[in-house]
Amino acid sequence: MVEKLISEGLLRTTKVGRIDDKCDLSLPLVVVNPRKGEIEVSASHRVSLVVWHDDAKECTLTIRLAPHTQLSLTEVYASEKYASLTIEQGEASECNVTTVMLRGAHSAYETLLNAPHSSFTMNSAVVATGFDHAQLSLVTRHNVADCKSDSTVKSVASGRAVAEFKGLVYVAQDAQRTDAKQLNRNIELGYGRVVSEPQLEIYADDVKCSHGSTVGQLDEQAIYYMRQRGISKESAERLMLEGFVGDVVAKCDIEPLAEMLYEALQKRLNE
Amino acid sequence: MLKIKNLHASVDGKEILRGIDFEVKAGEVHAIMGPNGSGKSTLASVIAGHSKFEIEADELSFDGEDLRTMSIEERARKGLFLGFQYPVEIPGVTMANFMKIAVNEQRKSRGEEPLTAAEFLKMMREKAKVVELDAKMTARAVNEGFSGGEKKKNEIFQMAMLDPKLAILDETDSGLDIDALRIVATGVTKLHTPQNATVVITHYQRLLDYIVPDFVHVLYKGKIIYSGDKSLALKLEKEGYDWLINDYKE
Amino acid sequence: MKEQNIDIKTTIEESDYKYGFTSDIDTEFIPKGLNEGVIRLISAKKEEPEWMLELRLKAYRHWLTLKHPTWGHLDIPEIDFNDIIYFAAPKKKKQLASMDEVDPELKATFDKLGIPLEEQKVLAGVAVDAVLDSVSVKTTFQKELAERGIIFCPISEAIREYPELVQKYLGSVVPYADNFYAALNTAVFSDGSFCYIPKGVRCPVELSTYFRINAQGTGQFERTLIVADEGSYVSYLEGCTAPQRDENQLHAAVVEIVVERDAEVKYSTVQNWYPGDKEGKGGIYNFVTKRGLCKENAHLFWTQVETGSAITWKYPSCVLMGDNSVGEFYSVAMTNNFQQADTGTKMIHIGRNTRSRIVSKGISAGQSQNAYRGLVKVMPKAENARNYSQCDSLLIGDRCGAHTFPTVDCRNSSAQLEHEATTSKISEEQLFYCNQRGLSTEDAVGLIVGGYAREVLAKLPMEFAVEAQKLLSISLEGSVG
Repeated sequence: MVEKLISEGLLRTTKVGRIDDKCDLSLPLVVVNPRKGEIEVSASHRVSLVVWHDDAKECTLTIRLAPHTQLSLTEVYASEKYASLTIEQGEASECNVTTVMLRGAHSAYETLLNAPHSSFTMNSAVVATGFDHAQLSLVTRHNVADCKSDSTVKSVASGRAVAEFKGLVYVAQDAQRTDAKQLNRNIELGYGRVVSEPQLEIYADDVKCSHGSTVGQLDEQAIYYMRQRGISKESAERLMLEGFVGDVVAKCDIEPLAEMLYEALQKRLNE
Repeated sequence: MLKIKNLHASVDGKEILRGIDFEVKAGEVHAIMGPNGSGKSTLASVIAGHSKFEIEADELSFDGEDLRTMSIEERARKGLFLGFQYPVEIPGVTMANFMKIAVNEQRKSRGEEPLTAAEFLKMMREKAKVVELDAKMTARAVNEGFSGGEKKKNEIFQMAMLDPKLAILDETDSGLDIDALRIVATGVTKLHTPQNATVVITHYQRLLDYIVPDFVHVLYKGKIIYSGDKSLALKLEKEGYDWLINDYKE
Repeated sequence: MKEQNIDIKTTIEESDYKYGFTSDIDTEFIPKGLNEGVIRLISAKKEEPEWMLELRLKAYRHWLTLKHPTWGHLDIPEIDFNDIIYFAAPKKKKQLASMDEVDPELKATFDKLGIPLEEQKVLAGVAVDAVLDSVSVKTTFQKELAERGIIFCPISEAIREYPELVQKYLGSVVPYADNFYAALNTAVFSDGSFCYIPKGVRCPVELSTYFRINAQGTGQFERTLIVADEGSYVSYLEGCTAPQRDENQLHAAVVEIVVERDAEVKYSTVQNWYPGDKEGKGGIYNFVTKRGLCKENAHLFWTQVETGSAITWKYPSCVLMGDNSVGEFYSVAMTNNFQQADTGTKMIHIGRNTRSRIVSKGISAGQSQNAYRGLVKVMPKAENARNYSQCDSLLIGDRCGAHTFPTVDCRNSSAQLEHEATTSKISEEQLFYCNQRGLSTEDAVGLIVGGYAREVLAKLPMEFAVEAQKLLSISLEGSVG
């Protein structure tokens, strides 16, 4: 899928390594099927990076954000695979992650907020259908004071698929004034199974931490509302599902990629 | 257009509508009033086809067709519009997408070609003017984060888009300030033609200053206990329902 | 403002263990250590039937194959299970015929603790099965209960008197192989309570049991079995305060509840065992397995107020097997100084239209660690299951920890489950506001904590709610500079 965007000149391929002001950042960068390595972000402007997975090889990545840098990361799982990504954030750095999981991958994120005033946001959409087993784990470590994190992971489990979320917000002692939110929302259809573990581990008292987890179905009232406007029940349900995960894709800062992902999600949901 | 004879409706064994006779003809405007819990919203939901209710009736038809055999969306495509008292939020689904599907489904059911994107956008811009709705709203998710007034305007905007034969507006005036009320009510009046009909369900006379009804009905304990012309609404506003309720002995 | 922070901390930390005294009661011991001989001895001392001894031995042999669990968010010192005395009974002078014959020391202990064992309690409408160490000493109200066919007696007595009932239900909810401590408890349990409410009977009084740990170096292994037969109702209260000790003491109780069709059981606990001193020395280890089985339309409420113990490890749970059954769990867990608590619940939805609700309020102060751990599981056939969970944490001071470890496992797509958690602290603004209105910091903290826990306290039976409120404020009591 991603080759199309590259060949159309909408994304520029790159390798793991250093992303600084010497790099040509006129286009969003993309790394396809990385295996192992470190990415250092030290550019003075916001960096837009895509990590694209469509093979089955294991992946272990570390991304370091230098102080005062900004990164928008879009990670796409178009294949089943095991991957882990560690993000280390420097002072006042900002990292926005959008994850789209189209297949039953196992993806483990660990974000280390190691310097004050850094912020991390994540929006993830997981679609597990058929016999998929999708797992997304997210550990957010507030190791110092005055950092912010806000994560939302949305999953759909249908067919006989399993969608699993393992979340942990860790707030170290003295990481005062931490502001951490973690939300996991799931829609379960057919014989799907949802497992959700949204954990908090807090060792500081002046903090604002909340988490939530829901498992449910499509809102019946909303479906009634749409049918009253003449939309068939099937279309209404599909629209709602697309809207549920589409919200996540809308957060992706690369428009043609967002469109492509939205279509891919639609296709997956209709399988 | 709408014919209801001896309609009973119950939910979980509790009877809410207890023998309603009600007829609406083209070109008419009806107002249904009544104290809380009298069954006004239930009547609207039953006509729209909500599956929560158990229905019995001698007749429940729309343009000569039995409504009972039709799904919610079939009724809607035939030109039955329900303006919701509490419009539902649908996260992630934009107004534009939502309306495009609704309009085209209606066209398909009539054997018409779907609108092109350009035609549709033009139509949206025009109809948005009816209720002074900011066209940017159509890029937002359905009702999500809308204020009370915006939600109600949005209902009338959708009514304009779908151009129904019969619009039932359930407490469209509730929660509106005076400016929003004027905009919403004027919108409804603009859409009124001799070919269509409107039923407004309301608590207050003030809406009827804008939307002048031909008939006013009082619903009480699941029955229409009194019908009159627009002066009835004024009398109710002044004297309340007690004189009617006291008159009415089961 | 900084100064005020210290105030809160001293307020919390300097509150002393109010019920910390020991009484001198003549106690009969079995020597330390655990082997089949000890188990046979316990069984013989209790004049148990053969099947009970068999069950104990089976459990013991299974226990030998198990390792001590490590999954809790707890720092548990290694326990030498051969350094524990598994049986201690107050020496009977002779068969007791009246109150006058009860050991005066024992009576005095109860009186000091404010437990109305005697007439006033009877008048207050509460039957008391007082457990001192391991043997039930006195049971009141037997007759009134007997008239309704209600059985409420020490479980050792029930094993002798109602063997069919006990054999049918014992281990049916918590089998001996369930976990490490359930196996240990089944092997060596000393005593506990048995309660049977016959079909259609509403138990007219709140049944209550006071557990004490009294003899030094004595492990206490309580076993409680409650059976509410079809259409019956009972409210059961369990409360504990234990005298101060330097040496760690192990408590591993098992509570089993069977709630038959259309029956309702309320199980309320106020737990205030010795938590150890300000340096974290001593204190009770409280490792409990509590579980109820709900049949069709059955309703089980767990309510707990946990302020004591050095380490608390317990998860009162509901197995919602029958259609339309309901499980509820309300908990306040307060930890201070070096206390550790890992507590919560499990709601297992098996039947259709099953409902559960979880409200957990954790309060951490000092250098304590307080964790909520929960499981909501919806099995494939549990159509229309519903759960709502709310887990809040309140932190007092910056050296404590508050943790939330929920797990949701949903295998039916008609389920609707919701989990929410928040963390908060007592803000300086709140204290300043209260101080400005003339409240002392101590009162203000008590007030705020009371308000925070109110939703749970309100679920306790009246007389218990008062006691629980008292416990929370005792834990917060101290000098304010």
